[in-house]
Amino acid sequence: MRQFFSCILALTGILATACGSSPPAGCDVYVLPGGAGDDHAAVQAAIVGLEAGQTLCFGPGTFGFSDELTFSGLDGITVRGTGSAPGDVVLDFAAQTAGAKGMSFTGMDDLTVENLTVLDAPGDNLFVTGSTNLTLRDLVSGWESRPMDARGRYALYPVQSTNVLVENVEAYGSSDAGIYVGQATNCIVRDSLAHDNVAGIEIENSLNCDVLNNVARDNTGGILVFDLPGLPLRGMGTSLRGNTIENNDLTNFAEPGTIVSFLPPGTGIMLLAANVVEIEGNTITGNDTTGALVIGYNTAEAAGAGAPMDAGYDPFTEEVWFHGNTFSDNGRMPTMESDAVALVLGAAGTTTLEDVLWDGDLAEGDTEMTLCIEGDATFRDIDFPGGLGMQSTDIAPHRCMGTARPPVMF
Amino acid sequence: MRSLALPGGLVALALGSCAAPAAGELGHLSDWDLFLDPANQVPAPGVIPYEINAPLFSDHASKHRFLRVPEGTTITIEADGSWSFPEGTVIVKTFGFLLDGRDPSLGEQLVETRLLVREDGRWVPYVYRWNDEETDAVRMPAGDRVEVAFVDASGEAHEITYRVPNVNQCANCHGGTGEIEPLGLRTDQMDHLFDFGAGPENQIDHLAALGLLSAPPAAERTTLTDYTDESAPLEARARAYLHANCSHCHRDGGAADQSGLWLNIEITEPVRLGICKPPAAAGRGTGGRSVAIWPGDSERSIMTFRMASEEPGIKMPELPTVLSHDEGVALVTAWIDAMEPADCASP
Repeated sequence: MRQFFSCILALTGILATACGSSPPAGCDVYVLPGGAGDDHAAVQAAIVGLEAGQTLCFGPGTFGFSDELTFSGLDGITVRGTGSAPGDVVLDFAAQTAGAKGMSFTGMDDLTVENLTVLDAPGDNLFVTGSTNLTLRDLVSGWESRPMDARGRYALYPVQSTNVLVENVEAYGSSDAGIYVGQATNCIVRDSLAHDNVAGIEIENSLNCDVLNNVARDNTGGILVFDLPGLPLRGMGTSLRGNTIENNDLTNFAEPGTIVSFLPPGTGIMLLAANVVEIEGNTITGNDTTGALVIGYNTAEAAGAGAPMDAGYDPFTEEVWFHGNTFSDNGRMPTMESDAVALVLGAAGTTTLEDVLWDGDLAEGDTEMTLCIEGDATFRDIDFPGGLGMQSTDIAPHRCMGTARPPVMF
Repeated sequence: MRSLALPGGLVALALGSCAAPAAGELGHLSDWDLFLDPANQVPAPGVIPYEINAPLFSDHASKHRFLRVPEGTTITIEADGSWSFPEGTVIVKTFGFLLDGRDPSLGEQLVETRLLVREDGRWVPYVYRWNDEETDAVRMPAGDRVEVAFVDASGEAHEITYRVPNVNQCANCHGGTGEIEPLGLRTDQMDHLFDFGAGPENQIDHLAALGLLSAPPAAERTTLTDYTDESAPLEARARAYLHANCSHCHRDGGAADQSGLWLNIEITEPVRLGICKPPAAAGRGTGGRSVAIWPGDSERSIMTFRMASEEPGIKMPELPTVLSHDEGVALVTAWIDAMEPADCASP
């Protein structure tokens, strides 16, 4: 019953051209932009005609959509732009009037989306949930035409999925995170660029993730590893290796009430209630508040984040190991936008901060060696449990070696 | 080569090597033989009308629900109140708009009929768009848009672009990340009085009397509250409303599972229901508020902010409605405001 079109060429105007053209090699279904106007009906028709294992190709040009593109329940689908670069195929959701997501994928295993650009959805540009074996590669996703106070949340939003690979993407302009991987089991984010977002790359409540060789620059915060209360999956195990995390000094334009609205501008890395994090071989530079902010949820809550009403939630950041990183020029001009940072500075009587800031909030039974820092780095324990009164810049209690995490494989 | 016009000013071409839509094969709603009088939604013999206790708000659309199981087969009511249907079952829901919700006799514009059909051990969705004469409806797998004008039951006039969903959107609500399932055909929704022509009868008892249940139904049944019944307890009304209007996504395995906000009637854990729950991915949907529900204070609660919005990217439900449901917002507002006040900032 699924037959609708197994092949579609959609265009306005010159039919003769279409009659003479055939889908590029490897494409089962091929769509072309219709010029001015709304391409939603034609492209959605092509999508509902897809069968498992097929490849949907978008031809070069700019597609405009008034509604979300909905994919559901089909395995083995590839969605591909046929240009020579992601920028040759643009899916523009600036005129979207219904639905919050641009492209929405639900319950699709063995899914690949590649070689196209997604712009300006009201909510999330590209959302995938419930997928096993998901690849997002060679994509550009961001916000350009919406004003700062109307930008969407996540440029790339794979969530509750298993074996998630994000590679060679560019994400920008998000009012939350550019590349957000949430509640994933096994993920790799690599060789990508995140800039001008509130959070560049965020790994949230995920199990076993590698963040490798990315550039996170000019965001409010560069790379975040969060474990938040109230969510179905609790996270554990993230490696940040070989990333360049620089000049993440953007004014925070997140909506108040969101967790990232508490992210202080000028933050390179932020760990929040994260467990088992290895941070190796990164270049962390020019982040004006601090190179790495390592805190538990109690501290975030004191800064205004919602209280965890989640029995069994572990609010502490534990088992963190920094080694082989290059820190430079961090903390030189801490943000004036964050009350929490102002309190820390005031209590310390300082105007600059260090490469690594730790809240000093230890779970019962833990010692300072739950945060190990090897290599050259300046350090401050802000003594959150003691009301910021006994701050220390002595890194000695943290000179230890953590446990190496094996690479994520799938 | 064949070509046909598609909505939106585009032209789609199906090349010679490609299959064109098979208009003749279930391409029309009439192919299913469901109605004696389509315009008035009078069902054919063996097609059983029903209602549910707590319906989904769909931009004030009126709904006509029907059920047909193949002759000689029966429905099984499972111990948990879910229902299992035989192969060949057809579940029918027609959406229309009363021209004036205050006076149904003024007529109704039929817009679409959705089917869930049990085929090869799974549910398959079909979507049909009614013609202007309301003699038949045409299959529209990719959905459609229909301009509708009507006056709602409170007397407010609306002109909206109604969205007929595409079949993938059917799966978003009915399936989430799993198999497609009916939502309304469960004991707590079906335990409802309906006039089949001989005065009000319990629908489940009626099905049993017709011999369509595999076993006699339990006498003691869990029932969802009719949320419009102002004599019912506020808590029960609000929970029934949230179940019917939110839990198709906001449940374990639903499309919004990842939010951690689960609103199906079975949920009892306060944080899962949103009590003092920080948002996970609400973005501008927070409206500057820090928790889904701030007990005793709806104005500090994200839930009512999003329910009251009609702006894409903020509004809830995300799809398919375009209007906010004033009565639903009022009900959930009253429920939150009546809660024992709590300070979500310092539990």
